Amino acid sequence: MSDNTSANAVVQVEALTVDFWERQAWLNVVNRVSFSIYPGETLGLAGESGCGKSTTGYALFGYRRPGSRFREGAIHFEGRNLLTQSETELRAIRGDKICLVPQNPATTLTPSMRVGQQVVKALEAHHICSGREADERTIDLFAQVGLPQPKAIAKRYPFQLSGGQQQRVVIAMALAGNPTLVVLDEPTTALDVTTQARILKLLARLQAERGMSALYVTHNLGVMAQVADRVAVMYAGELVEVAPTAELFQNPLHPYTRGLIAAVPRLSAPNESKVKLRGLLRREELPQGCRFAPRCPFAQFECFTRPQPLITEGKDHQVACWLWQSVAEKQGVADG
Amino acid sequence: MRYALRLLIPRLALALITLLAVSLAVFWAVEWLPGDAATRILGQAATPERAQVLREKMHLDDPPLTRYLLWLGGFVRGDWGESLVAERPVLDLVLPRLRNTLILATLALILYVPLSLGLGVFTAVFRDRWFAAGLSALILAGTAMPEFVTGILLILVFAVALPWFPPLALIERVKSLPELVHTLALPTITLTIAMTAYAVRMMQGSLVSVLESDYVRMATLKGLPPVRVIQRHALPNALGPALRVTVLNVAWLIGGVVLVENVFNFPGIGQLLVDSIRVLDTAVVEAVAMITAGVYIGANLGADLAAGLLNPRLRAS
Amino acid sequence: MATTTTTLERRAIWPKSLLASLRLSSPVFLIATTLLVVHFLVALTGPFWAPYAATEMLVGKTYEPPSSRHLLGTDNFGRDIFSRVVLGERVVLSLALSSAFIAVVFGSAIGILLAYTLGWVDLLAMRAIEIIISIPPLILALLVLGALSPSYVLIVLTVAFFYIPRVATVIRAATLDVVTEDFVTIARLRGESAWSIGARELLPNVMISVFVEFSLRTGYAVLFIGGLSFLGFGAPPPSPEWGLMINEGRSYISAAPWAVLGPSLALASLVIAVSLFTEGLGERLGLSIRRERVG
Repeated sequence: MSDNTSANAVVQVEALTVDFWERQAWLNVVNRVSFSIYPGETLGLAGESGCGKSTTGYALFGYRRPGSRFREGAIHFEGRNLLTQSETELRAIRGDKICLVPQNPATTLTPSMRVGQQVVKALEAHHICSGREADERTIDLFAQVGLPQPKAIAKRYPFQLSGGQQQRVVIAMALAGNPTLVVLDEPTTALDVTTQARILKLLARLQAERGMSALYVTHNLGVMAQVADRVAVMYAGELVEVAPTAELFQNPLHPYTRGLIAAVPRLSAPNESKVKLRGLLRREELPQGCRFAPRCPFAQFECFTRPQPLITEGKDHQVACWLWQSVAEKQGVADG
Repeated sequence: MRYALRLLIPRLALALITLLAVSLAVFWAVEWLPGDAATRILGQAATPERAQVLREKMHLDDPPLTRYLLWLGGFVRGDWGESLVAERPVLDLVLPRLRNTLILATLALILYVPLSLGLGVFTAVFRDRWFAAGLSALILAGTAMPEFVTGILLILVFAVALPWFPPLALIERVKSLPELVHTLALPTITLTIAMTAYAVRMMQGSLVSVLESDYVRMATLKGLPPVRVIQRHALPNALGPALRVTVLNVAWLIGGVVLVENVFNFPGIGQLLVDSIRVLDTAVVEAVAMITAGVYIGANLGADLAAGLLNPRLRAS
Repeated sequence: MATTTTTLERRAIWPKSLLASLRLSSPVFLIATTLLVVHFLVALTGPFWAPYAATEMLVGKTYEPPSSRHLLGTDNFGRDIFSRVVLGERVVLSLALSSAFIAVVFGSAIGILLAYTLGWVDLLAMRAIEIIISIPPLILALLVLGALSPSYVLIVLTVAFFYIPRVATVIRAATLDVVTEDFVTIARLRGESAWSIGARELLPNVMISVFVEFSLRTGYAVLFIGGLSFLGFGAPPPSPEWGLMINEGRSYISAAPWAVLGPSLALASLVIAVSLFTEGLGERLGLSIRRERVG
């Protein structure tokens, strides 16, 4: 992975900046976020609710919700900038080369259409195949994702399926076009723990089989640790740390990441929490400099005024904190 | 199926009770008429003897409850009595009028369905454009305008100023289909405007929430073309409310048609109601009131049922 | 209506905070309110500056087209239409407002009472109300007004009668939201009488719905009364009520179209203004207006 350069990246996000129009003003939601995803790897995008990770994920489709704008930046995919493509051009990519596994299959499957039809029509729309061939391919896909009696399931409506079944359908839909990149938006939040485990195993297998790259958006660090090869941590619309998964968990450098990891309850040390995350994310109170400063136990005056770019430390580790070294010294290495 | 029955039976019962209540209310209101019905009918030719004879014939001296039950019994059996003014069976009077109104209503509905769907989808899809607020206000104006004012204004513009259409819908003289459409054009348009504006407003909420739903967004992110997204993913889920609104419009038609028929002098059932009330032609009033109330109540019942049945959870079972 | 304080505190929403929340931000709402104010001013001050009396028939001046002396021309009796429209404003608004007022007062009282009592009284009453609402109002109204000699009072009472059950349904629903709150239970436990609770705890909290209903009913009443007058069952001639004027002007519409145009535009503008205002009001106060058909 360390041999990867931007040259062979599947997708390269460059200084992505997104604003939402809210209460008669533009509110910044994603600020100059840059990262790359390489062939076959899963990049985890972590952060708490409202940090802009879902927005970033959807931006990979060239999609922005109504009342928002891409103020700056570019997303390079197959030699094109997705942010400047026309709707027609984007349509060819969406659902075909870049696919979404959404968060809540109960609300993302169209209630009035049988699930088999939903896959078939997508196949036909992308001219992959049609008619009988599409039907067969759909049933095949359903079987691949572990749905029992795929033929019967294909004829059912979404509400007739369980949560786990719906999620598998949605995954099948995403794989239909044999995509290069899959964006997963908290795909297991709506599921119970057992089903979650099964779905994660399924995803891992499919990805390995097909050599797809994936962007895994979640706030659940436990899942992240299982699934991702590298992790990018976002806070208040900015990237604060990027590192390979093991490295991140063993050696978190950014105060926020430390707080996040420390906040994850562990079986070995149930009541320990050396570093607490104070307070809440408040959009209105973001300083010019480091956005985490108001909640950071190590913040100094300069932190509030000096914007923090990502500094590269070591081989693959990037952190957006100029004090990371002194923080590490004060903390010792975080409990791993 | 059992679910459908569970929906239907209590509502049907309530509808029948309501109809009965209407018949009681109408009968009572008519009973309340000051003056003696017999003398009124005989008019100039009234003498005490003749009045008494007529009174007995019409059972006017019997207690009101007896008369009500007599009338109700007859009504249910199809005997709707005789018109006091025209001296013909009420049925003969009512049926042709009913036919006329149904023709008008059908024309209006034919125009209304595509117009309301198209306009509804258009305003929902383009709700963020610069013209959205203006369009919305225009549609609200359409609902707010009283139908008779719309009718009158249409007459002013398209019959008086520009003699394109006849101001009076004299359906009896019509001999062919194109002539029919031409004669009924203005009243049809009047009705359609009112129904469409109402429907579009009512559908807005549900259409927009469907368009902003997760599954429509998902369909977009699957790369499906927008027409397809609207057609196969959005519309089917918005049809429930659309159907309900349409049935409510049909219920409204019964009231609205009275005013519109009056504006255009259209010999329909609405006109008959007004005319018969004006001269207090009791049997006709009661019959027409029952018909119109029946349609009104039936349509409301239909709206409730449609909403319940359109749930896909039932279609599959 | 979110509250961060405990529900033990009464949340009284009286008219002053009502006005405070009426930030006139939307241009449409602003226009509607302005138009409404204009109509009100005309109703209030009309008789002082209308050039002619409503029934003043000018000999030899029938069917005159609009001119500087007669802004909207004259009708078949030689009456100045502009003056009649202006004076009619008062008639239309007072009829509609009175009907709406009575309907809202009685309807709200019933609604609050039913929501508070619940039980089988409520069950029975709601069935009865449902039945009454299902009766098409036009038929019954025509009958009542046709049988008895029409007068302003009769019109107001009839229209109010039809709206009371509808208002009751809406206000009952609004009250049901409040009735389950803690402060009501506490008041009950304190031994407060039903009347006291109704007036002091429940009513202030549904005031918003009451105001919106009042506005809504006024709009519907204008339409209903206009329609009744148009059919000849409403305001008795020679009242300058607009529906009646339109009806009267119909017979000579080709000879003098302005006789119909004046009251038509006035009526349309009033109804549109009230509708837009009610919509805007509802939005600002966080309610969704159930739109029913006038029938």
